[in-house]
Amino acid sequence: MAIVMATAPTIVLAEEAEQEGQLTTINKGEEAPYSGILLDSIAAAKINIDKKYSLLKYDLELDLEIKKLKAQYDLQLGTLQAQHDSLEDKHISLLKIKNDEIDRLRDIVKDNPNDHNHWWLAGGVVAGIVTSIAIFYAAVEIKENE
Amino acid sequence: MFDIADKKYKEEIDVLNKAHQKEIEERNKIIQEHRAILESIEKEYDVKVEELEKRKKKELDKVVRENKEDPEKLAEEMSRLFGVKNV
Repeated sequence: MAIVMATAPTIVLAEEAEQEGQLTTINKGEEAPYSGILLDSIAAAKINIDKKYSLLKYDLELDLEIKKLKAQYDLQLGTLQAQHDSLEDKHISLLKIKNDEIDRLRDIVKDNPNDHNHWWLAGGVVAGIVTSIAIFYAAVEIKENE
Repeated sequence: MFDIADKKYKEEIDVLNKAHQKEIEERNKIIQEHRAILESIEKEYDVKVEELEKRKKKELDKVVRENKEDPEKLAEEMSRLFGVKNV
């Protein structure tokens, strides 16, 4: 049990190292140090360059997507700005029309005030006179009947 | 009196229509600009990809030429790029 516990980590480390992979250069006619895939210089260069340029192409694609997204957001922003400007224009214009209408109605009211005080005064005086005459007449009538 | 009120309503409708029309024109202009921007972005991307492909081919030719006889440098580069050990 102790032997298994002591050797297990070493075995795991060795497996991990093997999984990293390895490569070596050999010349024509030389014995290969391990089984694997043998590439010539052209194939190796192609793989190498492909890897390097796939990263660069990925950067270009990322840049493209970022620019597209930015354009999309600019479109949304522009549309909203247009909507906002339109609403503001509508608001200002309607407010002006309403204010003009209020001013117009105010002028009409100023020219034709709803003030009838003089009629109330005249009516009051006439009513007072009529009431006084009626009281006087009633008093005379009562006296004559006695 | 009613004629004036009617005129005012017509004025209001006119204002609303004009503002709406202006908004539509502005929005169409923005959409056209957006399309032009997208087209330019795509074009720029295509040009860059084409340039990259040319550079890639050129570099591949150069690397093949330089390492045909001595592949050790290439092996070092591969080892670095792919994270494998060069033994």
